[in-house]
Amino acid sequence: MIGNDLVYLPHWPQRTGGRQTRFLHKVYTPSEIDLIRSLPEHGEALLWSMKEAAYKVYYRKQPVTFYAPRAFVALVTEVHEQWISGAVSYGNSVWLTRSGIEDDYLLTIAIDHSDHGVFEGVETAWSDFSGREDVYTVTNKAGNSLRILKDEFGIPYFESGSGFHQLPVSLSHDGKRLACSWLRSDKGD
Amino acid sequence: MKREEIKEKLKEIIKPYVQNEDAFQKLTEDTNLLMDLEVNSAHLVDIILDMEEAFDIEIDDESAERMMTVGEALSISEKLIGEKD
Repeated sequence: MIGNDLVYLPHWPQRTGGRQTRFLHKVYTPSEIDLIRSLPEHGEALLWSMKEAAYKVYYRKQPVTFYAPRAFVALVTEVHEQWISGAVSYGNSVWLTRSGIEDDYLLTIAIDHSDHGVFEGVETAWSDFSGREDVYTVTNKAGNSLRILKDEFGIPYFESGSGFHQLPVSLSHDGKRLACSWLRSDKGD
Repeated sequence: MKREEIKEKLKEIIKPYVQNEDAFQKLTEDTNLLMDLEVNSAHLVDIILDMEEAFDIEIDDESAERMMTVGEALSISEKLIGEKD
């Protein structure tokens, strides 16, 4: 399973004073606030997108919307040159995350803990976002055009001849750009 | 404060964060903030902060977790305002 979340960093809200303090305590746990302060930059946006991406994986299995950012606890495990590895837990569930920044876009991918090591199999296709659609079309690295449909809960899947393909895909946009991320199957999708 | 007054104030609070204007025009208590009004989830926090300031209340995690529709936001505000009086 996979979940992604996109944040356009220049649009991350800059809050100040008391509102910033209240914001931090509504969204992050005390240990996360310490972590944010220890990171050189973009800590708030990073942990936010990790929580969101993990929530999207969770939602695929339990499609009920709820709002509990402090219940999804994020931690950073390794800072690489090109990405930041982390983990997010909620109850007994744990997801692994990988976040990277390109052209001011912060993208986090979350996968199930049991899928450890498959980040290399994740492909992300970028396109311009032109409003919420019933069907999205993306082009994979192999040059194939793939159609994405959503089920009754709004969960996206690749279309196949026989209805919903079992290959899950995750969508995230900032109003301008759309990132579609999926785990490549053996068939080269 | 009456429920209708709270509702009007709540609509003012939500409006700047709405991305689907059509859904906002047709707003009912069943309208979902994320799915229907397409409020960015990061802005749900701002709505909660704005509600706390406007109504002089404190919305805890448990209440915020249930706040997915306009009706739920309204009921939570009404309850907390009532407890304050």
